[in-house]
Amino acid sequence: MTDAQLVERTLAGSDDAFGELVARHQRSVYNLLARMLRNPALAEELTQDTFLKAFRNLRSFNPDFKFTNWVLKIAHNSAVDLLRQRGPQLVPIDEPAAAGQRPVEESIVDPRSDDASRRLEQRDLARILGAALDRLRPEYRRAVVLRYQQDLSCEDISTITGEPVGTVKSHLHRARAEMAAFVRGSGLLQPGADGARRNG
Amino acid sequence: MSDPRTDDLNRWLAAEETGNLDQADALFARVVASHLPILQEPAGLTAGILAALPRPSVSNRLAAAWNLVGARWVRAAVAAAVAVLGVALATLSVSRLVAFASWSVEVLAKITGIAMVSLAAVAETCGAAVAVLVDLGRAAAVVAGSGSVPVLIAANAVVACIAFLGLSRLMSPREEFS
Repeated sequence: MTDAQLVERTLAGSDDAFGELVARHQRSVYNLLARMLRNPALAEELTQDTFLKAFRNLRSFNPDFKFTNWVLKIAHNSAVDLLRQRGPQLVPIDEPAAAGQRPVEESIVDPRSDDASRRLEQRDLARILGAALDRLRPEYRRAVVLRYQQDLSCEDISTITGEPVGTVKSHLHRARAEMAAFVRGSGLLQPGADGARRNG
Repeated sequence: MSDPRTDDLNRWLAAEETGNLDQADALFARVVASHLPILQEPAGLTAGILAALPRPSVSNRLAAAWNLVGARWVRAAVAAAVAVLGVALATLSVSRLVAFASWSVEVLAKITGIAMVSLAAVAETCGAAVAVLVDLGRAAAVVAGSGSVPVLIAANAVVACIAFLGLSRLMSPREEFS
């Protein structure tokens, strides 16, 4: 059943249909919010808020557009509003999380890791990439998340963020360059590895 | 660092350094897919969202039922009927309303009777038409079975020619008018 059909059923009074919509899209929404806000508890709260807003405004959803984009746009706007109210809260990834908050990287699950050393290496790399992502400007970070984690096109990202496609591409390019510089400076890569250049 | 996934990382860094943007884009996507998984939502999030959904009020339920009626002309007709009834109740006396109601019932009964008679006539006509069609079918079957079809076709052609000539003469201008 398509998202548009589930929306139709929800409008006809089916809570199960809306439950299916939530199950389909909650991970994308939560991931975007957790990466934007860098606070799992707030991300959870805002994910719930996003779907409640979507439910209340479901009649305004145009089935010609993708439901994913619509719900991600709601989430994105909510996160931007919250960040404006509270100001940027920079929480370095290595610092212990505040009470009641799970560190974002603890949520990462990689079933491919099969031995301790590989798992450690994977974890290091994931941690460094996560830290590199965290240090990006918010507009770069959300572009990376939407493009490379959610696999959305630049046009879709433009729809969600309200920025021109050219700006989205520019953000992606700069974000990659900054992340590359961070990874090079992290000391993770061994000297002499192809393409690896250390900054520090 | 001979792991193919870290090779992707090295190749991405090299592509960024050399300014090969398309390659850098593709390799970075692979690096992210391998090393930066999507964060998993907490368990029970769906249940929490569904539990927090606003329960529909009576007015919302009525609105939903009203929406089911859907078509605008149905809404307009219902609204007009309600308006007429309201005006009638407000302006007419009870005795007149009763008389009007009985008259309405009478008219409705008459209309129903006429409709029934009409339906019966239509059914009868349909029955006759079916009977004619059945007879024609039988005749066609007999003719086709007897092998006289070419003769009938020729006879029809002759009759058509005669009819055409006759009609041409009838339709041609007469001498006294030319």
